[in-house]
Amino acid sequence: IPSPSLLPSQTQWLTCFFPIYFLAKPTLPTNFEENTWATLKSAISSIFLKQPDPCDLEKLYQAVNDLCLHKMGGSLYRRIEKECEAHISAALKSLVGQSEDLVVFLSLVEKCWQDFCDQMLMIRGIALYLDRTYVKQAPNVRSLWDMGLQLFRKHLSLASEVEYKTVFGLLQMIESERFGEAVDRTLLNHLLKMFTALGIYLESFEKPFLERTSEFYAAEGVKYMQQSDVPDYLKHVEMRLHEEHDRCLLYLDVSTRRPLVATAEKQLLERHISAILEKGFMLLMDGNRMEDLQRMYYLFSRVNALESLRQAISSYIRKTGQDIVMDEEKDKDMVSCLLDFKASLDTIWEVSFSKNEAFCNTIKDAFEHLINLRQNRPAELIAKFLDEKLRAGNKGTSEEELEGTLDKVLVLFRFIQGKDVFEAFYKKDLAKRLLLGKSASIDAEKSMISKLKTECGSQFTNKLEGMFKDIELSKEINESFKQSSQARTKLPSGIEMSVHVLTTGYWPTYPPMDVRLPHELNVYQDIFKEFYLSKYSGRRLMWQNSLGHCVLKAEFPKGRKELAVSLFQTVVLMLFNDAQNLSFQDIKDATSIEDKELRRTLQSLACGKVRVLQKHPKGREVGDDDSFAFNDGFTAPLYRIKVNAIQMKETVEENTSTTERVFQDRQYQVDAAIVRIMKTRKVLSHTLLITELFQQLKFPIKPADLKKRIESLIDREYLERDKNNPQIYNYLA
Amino acid sequence: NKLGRGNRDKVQQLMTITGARPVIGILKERLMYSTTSPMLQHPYADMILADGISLLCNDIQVDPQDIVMLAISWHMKAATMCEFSKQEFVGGLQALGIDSLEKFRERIPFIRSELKDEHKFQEIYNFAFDWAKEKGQKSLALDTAIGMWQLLFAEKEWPLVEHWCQFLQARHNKAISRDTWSQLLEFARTVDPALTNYDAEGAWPYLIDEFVEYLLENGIQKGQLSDWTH
Repeated sequence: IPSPSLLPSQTQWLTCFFPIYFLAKPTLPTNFEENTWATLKSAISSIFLKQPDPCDLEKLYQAVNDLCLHKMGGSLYRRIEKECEAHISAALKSLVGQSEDLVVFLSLVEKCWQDFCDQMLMIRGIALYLDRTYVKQAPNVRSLWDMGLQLFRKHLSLASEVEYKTVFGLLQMIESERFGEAVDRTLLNHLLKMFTALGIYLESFEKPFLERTSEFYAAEGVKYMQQSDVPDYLKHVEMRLHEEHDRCLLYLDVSTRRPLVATAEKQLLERHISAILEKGFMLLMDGNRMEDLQRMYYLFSRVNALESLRQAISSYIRKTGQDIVMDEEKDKDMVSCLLDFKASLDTIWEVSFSKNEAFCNTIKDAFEHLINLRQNRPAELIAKFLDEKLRAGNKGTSEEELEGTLDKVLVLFRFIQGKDVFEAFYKKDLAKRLLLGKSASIDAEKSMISKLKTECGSQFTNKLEGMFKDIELSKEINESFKQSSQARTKLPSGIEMSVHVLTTGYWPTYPPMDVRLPHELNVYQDIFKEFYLSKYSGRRLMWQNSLGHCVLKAEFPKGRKELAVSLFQTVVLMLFNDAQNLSFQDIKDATSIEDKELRRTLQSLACGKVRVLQKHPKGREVGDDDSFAFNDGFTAPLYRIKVNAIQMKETVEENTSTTERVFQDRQYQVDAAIVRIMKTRKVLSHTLLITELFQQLKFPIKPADLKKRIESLIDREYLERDKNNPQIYNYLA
Repeated sequence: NKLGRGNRDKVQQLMTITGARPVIGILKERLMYSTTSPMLQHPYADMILADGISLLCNDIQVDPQDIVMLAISWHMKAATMCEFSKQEFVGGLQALGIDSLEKFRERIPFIRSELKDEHKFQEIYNFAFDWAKEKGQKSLALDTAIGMWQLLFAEKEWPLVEHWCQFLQARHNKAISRDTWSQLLEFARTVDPALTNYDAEGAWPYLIDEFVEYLLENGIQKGQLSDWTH
């Protein structure tokens, strides 16, 4: 009979020996179980009491094996459990009433836990065979380790003061760390691992921890919002979030990270979004503080508050822009201010707002809104700004710089709703540049036109391009005129003339100004007219005297000079070829120049910087009884002198008339659009007509104004209301 | 002629002052009249002018300011207020089957009843525009229009008529186009006085839109904004 100690542990072997069992059933000593257990019990007790055990481990394993083999595993398990429970309970109870100092207390708990773990491991080591056999086979029986944990958990919660003090201590330590004190993170780590191991982390620790966190950051958020400015606050928040993140890496359970960070974000950010924006957004934008804005963007994106930020941007642009656009005194700098503003916004958008698409649209919308806050004026100022840039004398800017400026201005132009106003003013300035030869660069001019063309279509630039064509054609006409027989045979000598032939309709309209030209010039005009009409029959030429300019050779006693003057100035000066002294009335009669214009002309010749005439009596204003004389004593350092005509600048009337023309033009355009649409559709409902009109018309217009035009067309019998349905219009051919 | 026109202007003036509607004259034809005989010698003898109309009214026992006179004018297809040409008058009487003064009197209640007919009222309403406006003009002088409206909307009741007239005098003060004229009846017929079914996006003439705004501004009607924007 094999003794039980020689039995191999493997079950296969067991089966082999079964027959033998039945043949001769072994008899055990009667107190076999009690005796074996006594050995084990004393060993377990020694382990818990940290005393050296007299029995060596080999014997203890054997004892466990023996009991298991004799199907006494169940009772062994229960005995071990009971034994452990007594010790664990005692250990935990011993912690009750221990040190007031929380850190000391926590260390004790840690120690207790650590001991428990070591002890349980040892016990498990001894009873490994039990774990492998009985525990495995019996249903619903915990492994020894788990049994130990369960006991620890049970007695920890029974010793509720210990559990409470431990949690409280942990929270206290974490809070101290939040206040900047150094704490024993290993201790925290170990104790929290304990909670996790016991399976009570979530319920006993995390829940109160998050509550505490929430309270902490709620208080801190309110306090810091009051104390510090927004950039500092945001920095602080960023730091806090970072800390909490690290906390999770260092000692908290990973699963806590998400709720923890969310709690902090909620208390520090979410609750203060509007206050942060209100208090600090403008400051950051005004100060161009990219880094802080970037931080704000990043933090806000964490709590889904980008929409609030977007709205803040929108209202910021509107408000700041309004100050730029609405202040009439700043009109002069409006365009450059807007350009700077836009540029700075673009940079912020790129750097700080990580090129967020929605933000980009917001910036665009806000710009469109503000630039159209004032009707017409911004459009006009943009045209003026371009004029300044494209006009000669803009030294120091390279072609590329100019090109860049044009592109930027074009961005503003895109926002303008009344593009026709822009066109009207742009055209007027372009005309001046072309006719007076003041354009800085024809290439830049053409590039601008082609930009406008891409932007608004060829219809928009048709007339502008026509102006360029006229100028080019005029050059050719002048060439062929010089070579024509008329010119060679009939022209008076000593005069050269160059003519711009402008197509009516392309150019701005200029009020005709009468002037009686000196004979020489008249002859010249007539010969040119004859030449031109022989070439292009059926056309009508009208001389725009107010646009002409001349270079005169003048013999002053003290030197020969060349004078660059306007045609009106020329006509006045040429009178002095035959006279020394003329009265205002004489000059008026001889030239037929309109009264006001003549006064201005005389002023420029006798009262300006370059005084080629002398006025009697002296004075700034030209009176009815004044007389004028050739200035014998005229000197000037330069040979060629420009006599500035007074008020080449645009007058208020000129300005309002340009605007009025635009409005008149719009009415025609609306009428034309209505008729065009109705002509193709024949019958159309009011709503659809209005929709189509809004699509076709390129300027802002109120529905009420459209109605007025429709009614006017009904009145003029282009349309009628349908007899059966007044919502429908019929086209009347 | 001068006298005739002068009278006509006077009547018109009277009408605009009192807000009343003009008077219609009479032509003496083979059936009835002796009082008009002097007119037969007149170069414009084929016209019944203001005086004649006043006499006619007397004969048929109708107040010259009665709206039924407008209905009669409509039957006669009269081109101008306060005037019947011989042709209009005769044609109208024939169409109405009138050949004596008695028959004319008897016919009055029938003509009056026609005003109650919605379709006929609309025709008469639209007829009134051409009839009342100054010849050669496209639109109807505001004072005349207001007088006509007060008369017409006394017949077909429209509670907003006084507000409308006040609004025009306060805000518009210009002549009334044919379109506005005819659309106003449409408005009075289809939009309820509380404006609940008024559609601001609709094709109403701008003057009517402005009238609605005026009503809301002055708190006369509250309107229901939600209904407007559907």
